[in-house]
Order: sequence, then C-alpha cells, then structure tokens
Amino acid sequence: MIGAPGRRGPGQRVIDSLPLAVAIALLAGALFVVWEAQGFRLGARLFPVYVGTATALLAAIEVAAQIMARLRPPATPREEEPATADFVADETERTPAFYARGLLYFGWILGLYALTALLGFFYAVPLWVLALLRLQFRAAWLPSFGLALALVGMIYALQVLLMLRWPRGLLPLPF
Amino acid sequence: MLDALVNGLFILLDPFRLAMLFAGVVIGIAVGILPGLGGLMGMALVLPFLFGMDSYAGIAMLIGIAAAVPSADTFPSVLMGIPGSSGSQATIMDGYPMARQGQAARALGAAFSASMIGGIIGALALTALVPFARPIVLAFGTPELFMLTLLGLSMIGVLAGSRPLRGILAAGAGVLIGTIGGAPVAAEYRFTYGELYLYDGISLVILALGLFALPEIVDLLARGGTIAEKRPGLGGGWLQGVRDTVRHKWLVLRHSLIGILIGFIPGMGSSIIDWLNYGYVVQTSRDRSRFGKGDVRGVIAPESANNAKEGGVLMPTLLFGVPGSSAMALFLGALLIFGIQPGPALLRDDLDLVFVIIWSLALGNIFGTLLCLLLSRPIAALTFVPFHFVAPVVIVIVVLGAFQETRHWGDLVMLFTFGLLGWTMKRIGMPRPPLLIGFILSGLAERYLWMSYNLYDWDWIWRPMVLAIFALMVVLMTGGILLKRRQRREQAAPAEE
Repeated sequence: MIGAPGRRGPGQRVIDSLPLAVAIALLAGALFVVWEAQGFRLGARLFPVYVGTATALLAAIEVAAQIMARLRPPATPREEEPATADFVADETERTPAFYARGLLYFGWILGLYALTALLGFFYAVPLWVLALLRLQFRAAWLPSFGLALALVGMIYALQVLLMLRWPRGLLPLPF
Repeated sequence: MLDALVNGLFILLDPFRLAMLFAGVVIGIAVGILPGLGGLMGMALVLPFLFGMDSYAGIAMLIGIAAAVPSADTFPSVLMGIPGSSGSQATIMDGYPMARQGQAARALGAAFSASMIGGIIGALALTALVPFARPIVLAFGTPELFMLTLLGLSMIGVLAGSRPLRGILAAGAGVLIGTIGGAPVAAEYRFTYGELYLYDGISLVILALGLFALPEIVDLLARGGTIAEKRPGLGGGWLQGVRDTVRHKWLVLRHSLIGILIGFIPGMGSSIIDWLNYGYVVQTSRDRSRFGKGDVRGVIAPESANNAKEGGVLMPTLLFGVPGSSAMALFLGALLIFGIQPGPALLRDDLDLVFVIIWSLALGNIFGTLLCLLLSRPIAALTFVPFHFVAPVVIVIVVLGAFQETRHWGDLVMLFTFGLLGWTMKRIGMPRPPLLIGFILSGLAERYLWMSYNLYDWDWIWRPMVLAIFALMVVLMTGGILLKRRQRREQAAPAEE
C-alpha cells in the first residue's frame, strides 16, 4: 500500500523529501541573492540584502524544523487549521503515479513549445491538439479534428480582431 | 452639482454614446474572459479608434471596458481556477472549489451580483466624495503608502493557515523575484545577467498564469474526468448566488468601501485589493472552516471590492491627473487625446464630464453584470465537459496570453518555469498566493521605503497616519489570533461536555 509505514517505494520517498528539497533550494536561493547583491550600488543593494537575509533565516528554520520532524515524528498528528491560503492537494494526489501523470502533461506542454519553435504557433496548435487528443486520450477523430480546426479559427480571429501576435517557428511558413 | 448630475445622465443617454458604452462592455467581457488579458489590454485595443470620435462616446466606451473586466474575469477564475486578470486571483480560492462541487452557476451568480452592487457603490462613492477628495489624497505620503504595502504583506500570516512559516517563506521568495530587473531607486539592473528580457523584471501576468493556471490544468488532466466533481444540474443556479449576495449585504457594503478606499490610493493595484479583501473576510469571520473549500463569502468579498475599486481609482485619476492604476494611466492618455486636462480644474470647468464618467461606470456595471448573468449558464456548463477537450483550448489561450506580454520567447519559458514551481508548491502544501503578494508588493515597498527614508530619515515612523495603519495591522493580526483561540475553545467545549 502506498504510504504505509516501512513499505515506501523510492518514488514515495522522493515525494516525501520534496518539501525539504524546496526549503533547501529557498535557503540556497536567498543566500545567493544576498551574496550577489554585494556588488550592487547602495540604493539597489539594501532591499535585496535585507529581504534575502530574512528569507534565508526563515528558510534555515524551516529546514531545521523539517529535519527535526523527520528524526522525531510527532506521536499524534498535528491538527491542521482550515487551509485558506491555497488549494490543498488531497492524499490521493500525493502518489508517485499522480506525480508521473502531472509531469507527463508538463511534457505535453513542452511538446507544444517544441512544435511552435519549429513550425510557429499557428501550425503547431492543430498538430499538437490532434496528437494530444488522439495519442493521449484516445478521443474520436471527429471531435479531435473539430477542436483543432476551431482553435485555428480562434487564434486567427484573435489575431485579426485583437491584433494578438503569436510566436514564429524556424521554418519559413506563412503566418 | 445636481444640475451636472442630471446633465451627465442626459448626455450619456444619447443612443450613439449608449451604444459605445455597451460596445465597451462587450469588449471588456471578451478580454476579461481570456486569461492574461485585462482592462489595460482592452483599453489599448480601442485607443487607436478613439481619434476623432465624440469625446463623451469615447470615454463611455473606455469606462465600459473598465467596468466589465472585473466582472467577466470571474468566469475563468471560478470555472477553471485560472485568474482571468490580476484582479480576480482571490476569487479562485472559493469560487473554483464551488465549481468543482457543481455550484459554478451559484458562485458566478454571487460574484456578478456582488460585482454589480460593488460597482454601483463605487460610482456613488465617487459622486459623494468628489467635493472632499482632495485633502484625503494629499494625506497619503510615501511613508503611509509604505505602511499600506506592509499591511498587504501582513495579510500573508492570515492566509497561510496552520503553516505560517511556509507562507512567509513563499512571500519572501516573491519579494526576491520582484527585485529582478531595473532597481526602482538606483541606476542598476539586478539579477539580469545581460538578458535583455529580464531588464523590465518578471511580468505579473506571466507569474500569475504560471503559478495558478498551468498547475490547475495539469492537475485536472492528471485527475481525469470533468472540472465539476458532482453534477446536480448546475447547482443551486445563479439565483441562489444572487440570494447569497443579498443575504450578505453588509459584507458587500463593507468590502465595497474597502475596495474604494484602497483603490483611491494610487499604485495600489487590483491584485492587492483582491487579496487584502479576501484576507480580511477570512480574518473577521467567526466560522472559517469553509474558506478555501467553497465558501460563498470568499467570492462575494473580493468581487464586490474589485468592482467598487474602479470608483476609487478614478478619484486620483480625475482629480489630480495621477493614474490610480495602469489601466487608468491609459485612460488618462485618452482624456488628453480628447483635449481634456484632468486635475482639480476639471471639477470646476467640466463637471458634466465627471458625471458622464460616473454614470458610465454605474451603467457599465449594470450592463456588464446582466450580460455576464445571461452568459453564466452556458459558460458554467463547460465544467461538465470532459476536461481533455477543454484543456487544449485553455492551454492555447494561456500560452497566447502569456506571449502577448513582451512577445518574446522568454515569456513562454517563464510561464513554464512558474507553472512547474506553482505545481510543486501546491503539491508540498506551500501556499502560492503569498508568493504573488510578495512579488506585487516588492517594487512598491522598496520604492516607498527608500523615498520615505530620503525625505524624512527615520522620523517618518512617527507620522500619525503611519501609526494608525500600524495599529490597524496589529489589530488585524492579533484579532485573528484571538478569533482562532476563541474558535478552538468553542470547538473544544462540546467535546469536553
């Protein structure tokens, strides 16, 4: 069972270590800002130095707290206050399989970027939509084609009506 | 003044001017629905067509855009968890969970009705405050403005729930990201490493789209199915939402007034107003258990403030020629195109025009709300379409919207980077809004602090308004702690019995 004590797989261990990794990255980032800001003029230096120092201190406390929590886990789980700051991912979304699916879709977005870099946004969009719907979701041809064409129409209309521009590709295609 | 009020209405009731106002509302709704595009974009689009147009009609059109965007940007916020514009970020917190529970129409109904009332209160306040506005605007110097930015940052503690340290850390990261680019108080580019793209700093729109849009899209795709998890029709429907607004009428009034007050202060953008109001409603509510999970008060408070603030931002714009927001800077430019010089003389020489603007604001809000209410049912139905058919459309719009910022590939790189960051933050339970608030307030805080220090040394700390804002911060923060303790005691009491 995923998440059961003593039977955590490597994927779950990576997920469990993510908060600590982010806190360490923040600590490193804040220290880098303080160090880098030393070369700025006074007016440009003070604010990043003060904020960077404060952030580094807080990040160090967070890192220490997380290490302590790992070494000595609390006997009873801490009562969580209602989250009003952000959406909270529920337990079913903290599994390696969910993370893998999430990263896969980030990969699809990178795929759109790659196609855009090659063909330009106008041509990349229908190809990408067809590929995503057909290969990833096994959608029927008709709605896939319909959506791809509708999106081409939409981005063309946006260009004409709102004078929006889109990224061009390496290949010298019209639009 | 009463003559000018009536004259203003009759000037606006001319069919062509009314049609232009309505056209502005339609454009405002179109750009509001598209994530990443806001009032500034809408106004910029129509500006080239205003040359040679009747000045009242042109101004009505621009105000129509300004009035409709804060209502229409609720659609993507509620339906997809994506901020339609910078002013609708906090609406996501409860509007989107409501949509996922099958109450999209109710959330939209509440948001639009609160927006309309807020907008009308904003217009009324502008009317009432016109004679007294000057001394109030002049009372805010840079020390007071700095304290207001700190007030915004103090809301992070409220928003960060049981993990305030992670919230404050996120805010620190946001403030540091905000230091990238040209330093506001010295001739120096920071953390740019010779990259021309970074000279202007990171775009707020891209940061917001990256932090909130991409993670939600990816999570919805990873979950599979539709946005809404339950399907009881469209929930209670938009009438239920309107009833919610009526039931929370004092909340609407209170947050409209806060929206006007903060909008009145130049430089306080709609994002700050949005989050500040959300933090305030969470802080002052006795029962906070539903916030973040679909509490309609979390939709009503920021939405009423969001529309009401348009009345507030118009005050410094019209009275002093100081734009209250970036969109108002463009509006100011449009006034100059028409040969109108904003400032105290406007009140003396062309009061009719001031009231045309006020009437346009009120009517624009009504038109905008009615149109949004008409559209809410068909658009809310989108939450029941399998998300893999919606996702490509949203991704394309988000990418296209992000690219409009500077039309540089850096926009897309930043969008992806912040998307991955936002997704990671969501997964580890580090709240994303504090990062955004820190980023927004970073430049302002640095500028105001430096100016205050240069002008007054450290004596600025003892200014009465500074002390008053500081006291307000203390009251809000300690009030929150006391409320939490009281709530815990009340929850513990029945268990002990």
